[in-house]
Amino acid sequence: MISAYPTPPNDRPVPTPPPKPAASDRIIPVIYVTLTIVALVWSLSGMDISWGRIATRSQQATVYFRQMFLETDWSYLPKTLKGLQESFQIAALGTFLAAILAIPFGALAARNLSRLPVLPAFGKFFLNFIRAFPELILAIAFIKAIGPGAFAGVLAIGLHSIGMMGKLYAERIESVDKNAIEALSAAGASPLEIFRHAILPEVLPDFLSFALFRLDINIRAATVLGIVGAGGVGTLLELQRRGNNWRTIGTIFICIVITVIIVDFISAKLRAKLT
Amino acid sequence: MPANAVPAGNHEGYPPRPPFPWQGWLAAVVVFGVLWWSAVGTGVNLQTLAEGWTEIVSFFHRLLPSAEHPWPLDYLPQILVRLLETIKMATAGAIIGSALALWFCLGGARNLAAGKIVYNISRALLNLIRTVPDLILATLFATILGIGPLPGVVALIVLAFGLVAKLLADTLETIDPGPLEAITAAGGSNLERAIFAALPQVLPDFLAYTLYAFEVNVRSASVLGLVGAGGIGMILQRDLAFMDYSRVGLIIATIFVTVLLIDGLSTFVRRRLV
Amino acid sequence: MSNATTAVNSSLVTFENVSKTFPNGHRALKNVSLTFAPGEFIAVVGLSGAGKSTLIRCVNRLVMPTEGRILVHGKDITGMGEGELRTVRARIGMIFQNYNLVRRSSVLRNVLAGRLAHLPTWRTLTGMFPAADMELAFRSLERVGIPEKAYQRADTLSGGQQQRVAIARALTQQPHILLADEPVASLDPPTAHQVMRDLKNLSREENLLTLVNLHFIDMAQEYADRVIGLRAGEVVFDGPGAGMTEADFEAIYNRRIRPDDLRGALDIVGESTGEASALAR
Repeated sequence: MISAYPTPPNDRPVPTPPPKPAASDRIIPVIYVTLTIVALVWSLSGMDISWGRIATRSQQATVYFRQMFLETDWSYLPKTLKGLQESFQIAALGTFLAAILAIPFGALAARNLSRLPVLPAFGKFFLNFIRAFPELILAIAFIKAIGPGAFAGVLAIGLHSIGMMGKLYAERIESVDKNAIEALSAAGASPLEIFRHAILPEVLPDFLSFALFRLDINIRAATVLGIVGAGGVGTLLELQRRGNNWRTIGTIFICIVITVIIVDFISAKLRAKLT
Repeated sequence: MPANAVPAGNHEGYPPRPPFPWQGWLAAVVVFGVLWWSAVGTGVNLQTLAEGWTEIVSFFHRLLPSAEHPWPLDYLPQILVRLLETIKMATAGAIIGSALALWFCLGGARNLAAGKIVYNISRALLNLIRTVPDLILATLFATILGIGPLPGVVALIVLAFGLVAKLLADTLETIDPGPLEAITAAGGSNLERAIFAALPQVLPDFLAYTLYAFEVNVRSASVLGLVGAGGIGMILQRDLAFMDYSRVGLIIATIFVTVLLIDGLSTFVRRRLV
Repeated sequence: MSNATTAVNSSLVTFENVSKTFPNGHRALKNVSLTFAPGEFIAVVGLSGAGKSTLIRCVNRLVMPTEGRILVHGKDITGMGEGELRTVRARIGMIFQNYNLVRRSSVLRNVLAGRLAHLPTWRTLTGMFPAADMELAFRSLERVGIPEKAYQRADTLSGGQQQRVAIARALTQQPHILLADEPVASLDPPTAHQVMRDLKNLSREENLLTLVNLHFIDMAQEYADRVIGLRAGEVVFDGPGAGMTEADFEAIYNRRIRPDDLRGALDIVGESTGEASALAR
């Protein structure tokens, strides 16, 4: 028998489709879309995009692509790996130092740890100040101070990460369970003792998680720092780029991607064990 | 002594001490080893740091305005022009990138996808895109497409795409399947399902993610100029190379204020979205 | 109505015209004057918002009164500095409705926290507790019946067990006063009665002045020697629980007694049933 109505799957009642929005509600998305299109047009205005140049360059690009991935120069691998090793070292050291040094800054910036509101306000401002400097700028600064090389890279990544992690630490501390703190306070513990015995046990696993996540980001940043001379595989990349050696650029590129994937994977596994 | 007490450990009636935490100590040794190896490999030593410390401080000191080297306020208009360019790049990157992400995700999410193969490939591709540092992309694009804002925008599009697509894909997996079923039952196609059932549910989150991508783009955009990909980074790089530190200080101060403003603005907008 | 026969010298805690008005204008306590002697087991009852929590938290100054004085061991705690306050708090144990344990730490570490105020800072910050304190902690755990859980993470225990860890923590302080803010509100009836029994026994054995906030009036009558009824921040009843009449009940709760005001008697072989029937007259 042919039914006029479609049979619902699994004999369950047909769920009602979402109701059609009122007319006034339908205008809002139109406004959003219009605004977005306007913003897009504005943002692309004034950019000199000569389509001719793009066409020729795209042709070149395909040549480069082919050289990068299909004619990759694997003889460059040992040098690349050495460069990557340095990048990893920069990221690891920078992240670890920052993870530790960010603790007092995070504690300073946490509103629930100080009685005077001026201290956390200053702490937050200081952390924001550091965070505003991209790692690259810091790297350039440190290079001017102590010369090019991986050390400058460690300092750049370390300092920037203190800013980033300090903020995360502070926010985490501000959201601790107040109950245990009240109990220890009632038992006569001093603020420092409360921090050590009620707050720290709760936040430390999360701090470690933040550090591992930061490592993910920092390994990417470390590969790039070499472009300005702060050590690691970036230096090689810049060298090859200037020489237009797309075959070796391909080697470096592929190795960077693989390294990042590995570090991401390990970091994710470790973070899963922490929750 | 209570009837259910555990018999002697190293103390009468008390439970035996927990076993020696081998895992913890091994992990600590490994971590320490890696750090030591890293320190040696990167040439970190406190002596260089101590010697260079005064240099570092004087560098930052030179960025600040002083009586003999005030900030060149007549340079400000140039900075603002470049800043505008940076923001334009960030906007274009965020809008295009997140639009592409939306398109990609509605096709690639597990509950909407044409099949498991498509889903897995999409996810793998997505992860791949996100592993490449944005600056490397920008450098490569700059080499291909030439100096200027264009390679920067392309790099930012890729960055925004990766960011929004991942967040969106995760969100799409947690939406209510009810409306989707309703449309399937009424005979709708995959596309109709995506637009009328899935999209309305994720829209507020999508807007929040786009905003976040914009924020990240602004931060990155200021740096892209260092490799020639347009924006404020280009004059920053030039002034750094010429060691014109008062200009550099002014530029950095401008970037700082801009980042603060955008942070505050986006927090405000995000609160109104929720 | 109050225990006026108790001489002031043997009073452990004295409230002298204590009032508390919170910054938002809420007057939680209005001119409360009370005396508590060592070894007393006192239940504080009243509606939510009547001031029970505020009253109990004034004893260790977790809440600072806006008027009046509170004397503990004869010394006014309202004027004390931080350091001295901590020495006073070191001898006041407190347990809470939500146990307030450090969830990720082991049971033993939680119990040892009771010794923090008694040890020098270098020991507390490094976590190197002397053998005598470890002994004390273990003995407290034995006292509450769960010594075998010492090394387990606190949040792996049941509600009743967590509350017992909290009691052990309070015991480890070797306190003179025990405060309990709705200690059994989150527990099922049999466990609740067990905890109340434990508290009563401890109070008797150690001669602890014990102040317990309770929601259920029959529990108050069953376990406490003295019941204090609060209503809108004022003391409207202060006397032995057995002597409570319906009129007293109405004074506290502003209405007649209802079944859900009673926790329910516990019928265990060998245990006496609660005094709920007393009010039914």
